[in-house]
Amino acid sequence: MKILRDKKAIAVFLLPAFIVYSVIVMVPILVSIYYSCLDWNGIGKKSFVGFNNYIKLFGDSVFRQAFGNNIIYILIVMVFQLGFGFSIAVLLTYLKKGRGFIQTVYYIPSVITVIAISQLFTGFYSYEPLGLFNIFRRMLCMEPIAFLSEYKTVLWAVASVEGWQYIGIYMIIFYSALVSVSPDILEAARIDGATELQILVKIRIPAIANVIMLSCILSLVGALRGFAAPMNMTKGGPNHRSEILATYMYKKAFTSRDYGYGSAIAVIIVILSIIGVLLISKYMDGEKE
Amino acid sequence: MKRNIRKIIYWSVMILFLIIQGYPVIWLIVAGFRPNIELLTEPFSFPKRFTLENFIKIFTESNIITYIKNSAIISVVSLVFIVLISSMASFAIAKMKFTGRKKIYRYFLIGLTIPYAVTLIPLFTMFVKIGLINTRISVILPLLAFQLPVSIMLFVNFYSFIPDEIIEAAVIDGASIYGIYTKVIIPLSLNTIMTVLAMNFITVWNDYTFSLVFINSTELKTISIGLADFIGPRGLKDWGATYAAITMSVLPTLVIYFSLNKKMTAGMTLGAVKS
Repeated sequence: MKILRDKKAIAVFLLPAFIVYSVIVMVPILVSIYYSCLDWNGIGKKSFVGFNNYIKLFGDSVFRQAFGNNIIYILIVMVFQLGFGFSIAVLLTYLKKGRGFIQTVYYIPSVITVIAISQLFTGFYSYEPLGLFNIFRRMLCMEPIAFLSEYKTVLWAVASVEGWQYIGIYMIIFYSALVSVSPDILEAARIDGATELQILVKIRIPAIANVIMLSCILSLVGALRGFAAPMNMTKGGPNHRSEILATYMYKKAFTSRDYGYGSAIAVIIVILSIIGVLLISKYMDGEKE
Repeated sequence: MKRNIRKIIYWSVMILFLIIQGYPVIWLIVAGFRPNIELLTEPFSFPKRFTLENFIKIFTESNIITYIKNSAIISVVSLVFIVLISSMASFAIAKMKFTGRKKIYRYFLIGLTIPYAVTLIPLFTMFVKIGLINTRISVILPLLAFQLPVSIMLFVNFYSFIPDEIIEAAVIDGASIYGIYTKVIIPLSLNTIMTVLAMNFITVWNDYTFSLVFINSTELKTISIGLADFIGPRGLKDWGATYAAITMSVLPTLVIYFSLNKKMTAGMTLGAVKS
């Protein structure tokens, strides 16, 4: 079909998206790499300092803390989203009535702004007045804790909020993959005397391996995008115990006005997400078009 | 007997999870109707008194109407452009013939994995240089750009199900390529457009990062940023007003979600499972 090869039409259809996306999303990544080699406060003169910012990064104990925190943050978020999402999805497949309603309610937190959720959980975690979690602790005869100002609990408290909020998304993805597994195969296995656990491990999980893989990537990438929840609940505090790379970068760039250093942190975040990109393209290669 | 025990455990888990997911949201909305003093002293006891004073306060004493208006303008403009340019690009990627179209598709999909944070400094300096900082455009552009990958993924997915014969028939009838897009493809994809709109509305309306960094004047603030505004007497947070404002901010998303929830979850699973 000649009309479908019309170069001018292809350009008209493709270019607006291509330009906006390139200029706003892709080019800034390259610019970040350039900025990361500068000593620059955003207004004054730019001076080229090579890899100095990176050398400074590795000597910066706050950066190391933020990096470590970020890895833990990602792991907590992924365990929440994938673990709970998957378990609930499996349970839902046994449900015969009321599934629509339950699914709808489970998904609600995902559509609410992170800011509302963070404000809400700040109240739940509160020490004075006693928040919901501390009321539970008291019922179990435990001392109340100031979750958001205690070194030991703060990172968990912040990360589990983001983890909890998006469980519904993964539940829905897993559920629709699980129900697409042919019921005949499951029925045959049941007749052969397989237990539900065996069916899950031997048949259902292998059948949706692709979707599990994709969900892992989505959840990883989503966790890497985390910023609003820690920013709102603790601003990275107390004493950087809930600092992650994005909040540290934000502070360095927009509070201390150290653009070069902030950009170096941004580049580290890019490197972390490149791992995600590689995983995605590997997944896509595995599928034929 | 064993079956019954199993059933009880099963339903306890389901209901427990229903409470974990549903309770916070219900509590949030109820909290907007409770007097501030009750929220300060015993927020988690059973509500004793209901009042509209928080809502009256936020509408008369705060800028919440401005914030809602700003969020609405930003959302509508972003959504129009997201749907328009992502459906155009997807049409070219899915139905037109040119070398490198798989590469272009993959190039767009990379965007799914890029955190907002890494673009903030370059975008900030760029927007300052061209005078876009502290304008609505400075929030609309990044939202638009970052929502293109997921929207293109959904559209390409849908277009690949449209049989080529339909396009061939239109060509034989003498339609131009632009005619095919506007008169054949768009009418066929109304459902997908709804899905793309619903999914993107949630993200765009809930934006926090870009409004935080690129906007600093009260007249242009969006609702997500404005929620931090409510400080009561003696510097304490005015929780009643805050929760009332939060209720106002989540209302549009809940309305969209409850009316389009089938379409939204369909999009989620199509995007994730099939592509």
